[in-house]
Amino acid sequence: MTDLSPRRLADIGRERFARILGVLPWIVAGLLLGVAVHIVSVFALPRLAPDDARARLSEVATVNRLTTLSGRASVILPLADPAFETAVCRFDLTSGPLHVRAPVTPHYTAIALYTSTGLAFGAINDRAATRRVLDLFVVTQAQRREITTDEDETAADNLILVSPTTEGFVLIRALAVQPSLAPLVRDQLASQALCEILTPEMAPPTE
Amino acid sequence: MRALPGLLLTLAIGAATGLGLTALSVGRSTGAGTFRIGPWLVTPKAGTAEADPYARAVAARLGTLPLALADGLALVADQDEAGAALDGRCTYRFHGPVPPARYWTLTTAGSDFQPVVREGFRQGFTSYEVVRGTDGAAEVLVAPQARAGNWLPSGGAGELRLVLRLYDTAVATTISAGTPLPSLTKVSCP
Repeated sequence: MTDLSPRRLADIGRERFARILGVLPWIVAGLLLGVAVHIVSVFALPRLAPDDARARLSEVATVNRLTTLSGRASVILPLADPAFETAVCRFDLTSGPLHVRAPVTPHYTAIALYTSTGLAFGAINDRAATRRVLDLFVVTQAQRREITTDEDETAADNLILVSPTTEGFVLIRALAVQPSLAPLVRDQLASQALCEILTPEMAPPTE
Repeated sequence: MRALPGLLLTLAIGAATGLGLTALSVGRSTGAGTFRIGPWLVTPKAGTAEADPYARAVAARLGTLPLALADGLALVADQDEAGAALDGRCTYRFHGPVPPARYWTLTTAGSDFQPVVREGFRQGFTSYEVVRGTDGAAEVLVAPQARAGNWLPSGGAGELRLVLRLYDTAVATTISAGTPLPSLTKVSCP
């Protein structure tokens, strides 16, 4: 028969309390581990995500050449503005600086630069254009030190952006203000936009 | 508690809470750098090199590239003025004024930012093509069935997001909780 005297109940209560107290440190450790797991997983996602922008663009874009994302860019890059025509250039700066040229389209043009994990480190739009094309050079820190400007040119004539990583993406985006103008803008991008690596033998275009 | 079951309990709790928190925050596309202005959610630093880890994780998961700040700023609405979640079967009125920007676009998107309308249907309006009222403000009706005026098809399915992108604007750097933004009111629901 169960002994339910006050003393026995107190003993049972103490036992249960001791057991809970015994589990508590493990639970607290679990929660702390949870916070650590959470922080690590959030930081790791840009590098580990299987279907991130780098994976999607690697399927269609070759390194150091321009590829126009025809039709709806929003299919390859979700959240891409459907009113924009987009050309993408994957770059690898190990053999030299990158030269990007974008035509100044009738309404709005922008060149946006990203690291390979999708961090936007710079952009310029057609406000910076002094001619009918926008010329931009993407360099590594080491290459930047080597570039010297001639006395004839002013530094403002050459837009030079330093990339924090050797690999990344350039997006050339042009706005088609209404759907009927999209083919026109797309053709202008396809024929006039340019993306090339400047190997040591080539001098930067100066015209 | 004995060491081995205790260790297993710790690992189980750690994995469950850690990954659960990540799935919740990144899955809902909210995080440390995002704040709300009325119906609009904005992450001002998402398009810069100072993007917070949550914004970067969200972009990686969605497979997208954020809008670079010098290019533009994106504002995402997931609810109307009253705080109710946007529904593609309801009708909403988007009414300016839009903060000064050289161009802006208003587009529809699903909960994971995929298109909600089929090929051939209008996905968005640009500031250039939207028909304005006599006061100069833009008014867009987001609805599943065609409406007079600027009609933006909402797709008729459940979850809906509206993305307002402002291009070449000073607001990209000055945006705060007090910035006046367009209103998004529910007109009717079936």
